[in-house]
Amino acid sequence: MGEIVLQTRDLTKYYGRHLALDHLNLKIPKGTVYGLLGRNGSGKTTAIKLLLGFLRPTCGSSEVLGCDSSDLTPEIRGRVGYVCEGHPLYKWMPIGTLENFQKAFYPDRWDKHLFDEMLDYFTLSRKQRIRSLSNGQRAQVSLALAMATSPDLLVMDDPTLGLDVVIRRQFLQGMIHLIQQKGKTVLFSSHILSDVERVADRVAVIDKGVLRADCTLEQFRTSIRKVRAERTGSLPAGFDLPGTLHCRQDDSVTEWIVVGTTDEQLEQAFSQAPVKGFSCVAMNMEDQFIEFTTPSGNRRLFEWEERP
Amino acid sequence: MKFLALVKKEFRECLPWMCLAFIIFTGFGALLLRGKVLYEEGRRKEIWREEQVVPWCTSPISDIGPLLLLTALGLGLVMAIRQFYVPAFDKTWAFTLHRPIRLITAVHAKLFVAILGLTLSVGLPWTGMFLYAAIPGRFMDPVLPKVFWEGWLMVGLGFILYLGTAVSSLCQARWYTTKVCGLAFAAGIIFLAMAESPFPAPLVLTAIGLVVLGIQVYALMQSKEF
Amino acid sequence: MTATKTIQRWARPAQILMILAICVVLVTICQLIVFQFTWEYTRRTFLESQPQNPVVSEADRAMKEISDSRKEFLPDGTVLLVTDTMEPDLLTRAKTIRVADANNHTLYEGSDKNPYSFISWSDEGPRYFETATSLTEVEGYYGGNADFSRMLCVRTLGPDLRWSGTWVYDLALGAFVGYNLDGRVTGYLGAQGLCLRKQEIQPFEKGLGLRRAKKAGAVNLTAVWISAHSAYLIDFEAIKVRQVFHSDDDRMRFVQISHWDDPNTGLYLPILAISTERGRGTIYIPDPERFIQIHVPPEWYWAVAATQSGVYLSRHRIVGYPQSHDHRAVSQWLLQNRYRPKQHISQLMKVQDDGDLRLISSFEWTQPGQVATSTVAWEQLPRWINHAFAVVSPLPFKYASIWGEDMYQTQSSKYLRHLVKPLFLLEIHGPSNLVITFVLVSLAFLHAWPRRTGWGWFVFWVILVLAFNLAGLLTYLAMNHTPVIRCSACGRRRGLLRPDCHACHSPLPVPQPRPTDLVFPAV
Repeated sequence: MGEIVLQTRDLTKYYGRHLALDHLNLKIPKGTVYGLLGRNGSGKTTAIKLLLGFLRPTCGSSEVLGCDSSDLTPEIRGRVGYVCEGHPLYKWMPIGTLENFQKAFYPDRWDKHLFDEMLDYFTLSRKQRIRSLSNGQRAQVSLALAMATSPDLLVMDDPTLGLDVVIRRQFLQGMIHLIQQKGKTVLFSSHILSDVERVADRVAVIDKGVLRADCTLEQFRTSIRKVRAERTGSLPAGFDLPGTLHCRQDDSVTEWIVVGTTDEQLEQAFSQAPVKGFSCVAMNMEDQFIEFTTPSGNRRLFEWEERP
Repeated sequence: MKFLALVKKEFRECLPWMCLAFIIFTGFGALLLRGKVLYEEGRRKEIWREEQVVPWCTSPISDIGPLLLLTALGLGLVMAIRQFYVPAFDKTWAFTLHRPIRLITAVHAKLFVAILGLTLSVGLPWTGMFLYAAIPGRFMDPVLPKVFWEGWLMVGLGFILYLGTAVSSLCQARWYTTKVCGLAFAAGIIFLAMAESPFPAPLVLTAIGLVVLGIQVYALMQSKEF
Repeated sequence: MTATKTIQRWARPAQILMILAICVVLVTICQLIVFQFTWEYTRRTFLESQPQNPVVSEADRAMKEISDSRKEFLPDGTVLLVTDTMEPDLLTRAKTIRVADANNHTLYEGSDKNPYSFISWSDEGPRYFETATSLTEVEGYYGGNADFSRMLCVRTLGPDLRWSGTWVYDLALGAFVGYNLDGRVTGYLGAQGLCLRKQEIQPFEKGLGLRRAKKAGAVNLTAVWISAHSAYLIDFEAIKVRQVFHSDDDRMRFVQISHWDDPNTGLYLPILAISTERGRGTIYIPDPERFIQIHVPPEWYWAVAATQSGVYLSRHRIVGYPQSHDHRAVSQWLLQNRYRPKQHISQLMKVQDDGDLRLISSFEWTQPGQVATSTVAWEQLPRWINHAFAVVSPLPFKYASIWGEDMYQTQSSKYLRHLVKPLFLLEIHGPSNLVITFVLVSLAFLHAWPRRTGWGWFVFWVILVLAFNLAGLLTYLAMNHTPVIRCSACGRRRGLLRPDCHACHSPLPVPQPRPTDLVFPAV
């Protein structure tokens, strides 16, 4: 890992009295694909906007390509591609006019061949006006416009929101194309964990404005586990596994969601407990994320469905 | 080239309104002027003894005055809404500003287009009408040169309203607190300038409005959160 | 970068100025609304409480009759009291008058074509503009219609009585510019008379008034241009200018015009009477041309008439009336003496050729005091109305009231005059104003204390609220939206604009890491 392209130091943002981001410390090295995860209102978009200088932090600082976010120079902005949430573009412009508009700002970096190829791939015509495009098509145009500027850093805020599976797959393939070019860094936030799983090297999870995870995808996947044990009797008071996030039990079975607990620790803990045996249940990333970000003691929806 | 691209984009967005203002002002203005010319022709044939001192004699081109002011104000208001309020509504600020330019360039492009729009749609037609009216012999009452500058000052008041609306659009406060202050201040300046103040008072007021509101437009763009 | 920093430095003061101006206007409008409502309520209540038909004694009635009548002089000095008994209407009835002697005994009653030949005095004559501010319609936009500035025009007729040209007053040149019907310039008329080149123009001093003094038999106008130190006769028939008065150290007070367009030219001569603030008077008779310098004390109001047998002067004053004609002194005196009887003196004098005045006759009478039921004076306003208006007035209003009074006297715009009137007629500052100021400053202090980022702005806001009262507080609140939270260390409220707590200087709390966090930074 070498050069740091994105860095935050105690980045904090208040909206009025509401704390949106709380002392975020993040370092994103060059060449990484970083997935920024979090629930609705966790602070992902706030973090991205702070990084790109569209918001002013309450305290702390952030840097993009070595430049303070609140004072990004035109040169730095020229090296950063940005795909906004919702893909807002000028509705009255045809794609061709939008291309010319974008091209005017990147005379040296504009990759016409890539843009043409992407339009062709997405079967879009230059004469189509933005207002006549669907959400997915707008997302495609947005991605093409961002990628054709040959950015060193591509920042995307929930780029696949509202897109169908086919468009999402096309979008990701476009992203992979970019990743395959050496030295490019991608930071994207998403709710679609399968997309993150496909492309991300590292993930960061923000929960209620606080960074709760900043690790490789593999670390995330292997650290969060569900342990199930069949009880033979009542568990002793205060019994808990190290790294427990949640614990649920019914008549005979108890389940724990643990984080960062090794097999040895599990064996040692269960050796004292009245259980027949324990097993680790496979979880997909979505389940892992849900468990990681759900507060303990949170009532589940439609709880009445579980009554016998 | 970057500045030009921004100017083209802003110009294209405001073009329908500029055309509308041009059509309204030129169309109605020409009608009014033509009507006045026909009236004068009739008057020449039958001039009778009149009250000789006419202390508040209106300029022959005075009918254009209210039309000029309203068109300038209307165009200024609409352009500011299009340039500063609609992007917040459409959420296109980030797309516009995240490019290799200084923020101030984007502001300059908008202001440039506003000035250009007011000049082309209102100022130049006004100049044409004035030159037409000022041809010796066109009217029996003289058309004084100061009326020409008064007309351009009305165009300036349209720019004042543009800046006031821009300040209100950029302000992030709630509408019932200070959001409308920019508009209210601009309206106050326009009211005082038109309230029978002797020249150079309207000029001074316009200059004060330009400075106060112009500085705020720049500062709000620099400190605004998008 | 320098330009950016400059803009940032001036942005906040510009915003404060803008919001303060708006808040001052808003507060003033609210005050005026409160005042109007309370004034209207008080007036109605007071008038309803007064007896409707107060009993008036016989002596008072007689005094009032004498006071209400016009005092007319005959050339021999006899005083006659003339009262209009019936006003003419549109159909049939002519005006009728009653003529009485000095003791109010009726001598004649009937048509106003009476057998007595009262002396016909000069008056101010038709005016086309009166004060300098009336020229604002020429100098500035015509606010009533959102229109361009007007022109001061004098139209001239040819021998065939058809319109032949226009003289337009040019503010920049200070002279009239002549135009023919083709719009071409025919000449310039300045203080020196007619000239054909701009360079030769001698401009008129800025005009205070323009009066009509058209000669009998003339087709075109003669006008009197009145400025602060001079008066000119501008003859638009002969295209000539005649300076009839000039004084370097004295200011014009009034100009009167008499019988310039009178068909009975055999009886009276056309006359111009000019008075200055120091009491110097000049009587100008054009034909044959002569000037007569007279002295009339400033507190006297006077008029002249010139006949073939001589020049007469009538003068009138009220005993005790302020010698200076300062409008503040006059308003104050009238207010104080509104309900008291006032002693009047009218005199007829003959003007000698050397300017001496010989008294021919004098008449004194008493004007009864005004009946209290007829109106409600300012001083009858209950004190609480005064307080309701003044309690949130800012300190600068005290100084603005001086400007406001001048503007009231000179401004031609009726709505602006009505707007500023309460500013100088009511007591702006008093104990209640100080109490409210203290309360508002305290509120601002309490609000600003936890939000302060430095002493400079904190002191500034406190002073602003002190000076501008409610408008200042509104401005402060509008400009200061800093949210506050409880400091996690000391529990006090602290603003979020500064990185540390103003009380204990502790920074914002750092979130506690959990054992289940998976934070393994890449670098």
